[in-house]
Amino acid sequence: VEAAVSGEAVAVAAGAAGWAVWALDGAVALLLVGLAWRCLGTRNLLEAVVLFIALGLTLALAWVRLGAPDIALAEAALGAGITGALLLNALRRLAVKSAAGAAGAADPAAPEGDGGVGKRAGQAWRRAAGAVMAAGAAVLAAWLAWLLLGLPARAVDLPAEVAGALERSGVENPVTAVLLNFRAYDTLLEVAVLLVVAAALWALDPRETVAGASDRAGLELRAPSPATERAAGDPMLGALVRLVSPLVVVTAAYLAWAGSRLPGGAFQAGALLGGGAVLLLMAGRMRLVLPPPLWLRAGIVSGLAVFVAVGVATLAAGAGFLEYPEALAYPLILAVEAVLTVSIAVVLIALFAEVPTLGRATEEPELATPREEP
Amino acid sequence: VTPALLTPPLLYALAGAGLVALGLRAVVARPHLFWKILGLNVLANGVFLVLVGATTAGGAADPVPQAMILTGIVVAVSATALALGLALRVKAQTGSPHLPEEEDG
Repeated sequence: VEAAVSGEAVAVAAGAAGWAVWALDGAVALLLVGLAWRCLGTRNLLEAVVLFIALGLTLALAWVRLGAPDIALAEAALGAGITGALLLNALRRLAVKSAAGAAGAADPAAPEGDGGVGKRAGQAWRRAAGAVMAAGAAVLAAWLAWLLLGLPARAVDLPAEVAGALERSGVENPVTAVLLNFRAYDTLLEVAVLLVVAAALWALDPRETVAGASDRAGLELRAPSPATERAAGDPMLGALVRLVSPLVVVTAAYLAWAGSRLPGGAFQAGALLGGGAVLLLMAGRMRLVLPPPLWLRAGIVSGLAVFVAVGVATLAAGAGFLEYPEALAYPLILAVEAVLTVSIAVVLIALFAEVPTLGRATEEPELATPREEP
Repeated sequence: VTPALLTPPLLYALAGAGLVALGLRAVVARPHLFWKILGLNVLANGVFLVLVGATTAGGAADPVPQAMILTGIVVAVSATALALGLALRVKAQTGSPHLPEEEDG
């Protein structure tokens, strides 16, 4: 209630301009729900992925409107950019007809006699179940909305607590202070999650497909040539990569450096650096084929290793785990951020590693858009 | 309803509630694994919007949920990468991007 009252005061003070701003926020909020609705409701997978990327970019706009530019940067780079690239990459691989896939496709001739009547009854049941699930989701949305409208004023004033402790954190950006000092545990475990996912993805690739593979393992950089331009399938992509790559490196370095005072930090910078590398991969300038080279594995582990080392060092100095001494907080946070930036970028590259292919023929994707069975 | 009652943060929190419901429905109802993964991501984004929208009062967003969401975005991207890898493995092994019990769907 208190929030609503203070909101009322703000809105009255803003006057007519408030209405225009409110209309903008309302339009963005509606667009979010509309994009999600279409993305999850369509039967065309490529359309769904493109709508999802649009949803991510609209979300970045919403974060700016909510006064959270740190999240906006991360959402645009990671939520829309990297996730979008991952989805498009997976879509391409899904469309590749594998030998196993062709064999399995003939399988669902399961219960032969269960044709006409049984199938129609099954469809009716399915439709009824779908309606129940949609109704359940609508009830959930209404319930959540009702809870949000009646939310009590917060019991603990966290922004004030953060502002009060900011001076001792070593940095000036409150979000960075929370991420790398007050709640550094969260960030440590998050880096561990990244490491585990990269390892798990590599483990998913079956050994048997690797035997007799024609591709050379490791990370390979290719100089621009007519051949790589042709492989990318688009001459504009080569030009874009040439122009954008240096900018990406400079911007990422700036974001990591500015993170202590302004919006930005290791994750945004790492995502940007990783995104630039993904662009190189997509343009055929870089290729990572499993198993990965040793330096790449070291790069992936380095973020977590340095973070843990800093934690152990603070323990040895007599403070708690990751409890920085006030005088050293800034250099320690800066060091952790620098290593994390590179480490996160390397993990993001690792997520796009390719399984060695047995022959060139399997690399040609089907051009037909994959569709879900009705 | 006037803007006085529906402040912009609350507006985004309500949109977040909508995303949560839409995402959850897709996870449960769509048989294709890729739509389940998209649904999970929409669900996560809905939770993020609710977290910040419900804790923002008087202009500035609370830095603690902001930091949690930054962590959440990275974890969501990692989980998506792993889920897509698993989905492709299911397709490679069974020939269908659906779970076996939803094969006919």
